Amino acid sequence: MKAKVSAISRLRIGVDGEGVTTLVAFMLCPLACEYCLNPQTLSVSYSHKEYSPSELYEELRKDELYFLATGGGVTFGGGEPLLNYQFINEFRSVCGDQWKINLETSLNVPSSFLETVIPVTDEYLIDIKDMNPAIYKSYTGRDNSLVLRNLRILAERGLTDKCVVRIPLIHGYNTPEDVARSESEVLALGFDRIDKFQYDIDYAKRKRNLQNA
Amino acid sequence: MRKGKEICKMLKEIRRRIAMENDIELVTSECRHKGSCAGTCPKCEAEVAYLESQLAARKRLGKVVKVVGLSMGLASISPVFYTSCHPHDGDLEVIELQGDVMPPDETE
Repeated sequence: MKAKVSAISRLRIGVDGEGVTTLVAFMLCPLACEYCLNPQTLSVSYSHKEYSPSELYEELRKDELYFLATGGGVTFGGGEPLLNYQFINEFRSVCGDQWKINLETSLNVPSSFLETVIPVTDEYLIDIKDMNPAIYKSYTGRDNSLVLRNLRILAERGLTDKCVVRIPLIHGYNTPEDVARSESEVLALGFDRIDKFQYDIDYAKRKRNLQNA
Repeated sequence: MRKGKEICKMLKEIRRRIAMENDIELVTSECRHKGSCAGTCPKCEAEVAYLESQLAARKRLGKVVKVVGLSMGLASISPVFYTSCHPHDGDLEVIELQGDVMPPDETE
């Protein structure tokens, strides 16, 4: 089993999970967000590397002392990491129990993908975009029904304390009022670790880059 | 995003704690690299390799090795969630991610 990886970023501190973490960015994503930061992950022509779980473990193991000392580990992002749910599951069996495994996900995947990795995941960083289906579809090109279903699964399993739900204010797509409505809906589901933020980017440039990706 | 020099200092402190807790002599010197830093360099990596070899030697002798949780204070830093899908830097073309190793000649 091999996974396509667009980038590996080592020695991240206080960035995407506790302690020292390494970000592994997978290729491919079901969404087509207009202001995607990593459009290269959507392009089949982008130069990437392929790793088996064992090969990736060998690559990341150089920072194991830092992971163990700080309670850190690996954060899988992308792209959409849950498209590689079998890889992540197998990676856990290779790396053992002491590394943290964090997922930076949209949750817009079949629930069976999520359920496969629940036993091996320590923390979820979930970017829901907006809870309003029309806004979500307008920004990502996709329906958000799977996101809602998967949020409910995490809540029903009592995993909300492992989740940070991120709600962006997206220029041209939602308003502070929409963000507040999304927050209320997420709180009602039982999630209380919420990260609201505003994109701080050159929107026109980003849009052009995405179109050229 | 934390600056490379700041990351370097934190990592050096982690290595120092691991060495101290395991009675490993670790001599570190002040980094003289000027300019931007990715948080690690071949010199830092060599210290990690040295620590790992010393810890492995202690394990072989049946000694208890202490690493897990030694620097959990670092883990208490609140993540700011600048994640790979969090457009915080305003520049899409910068896809080189934090943490790459500096060339050897710039670090000595």
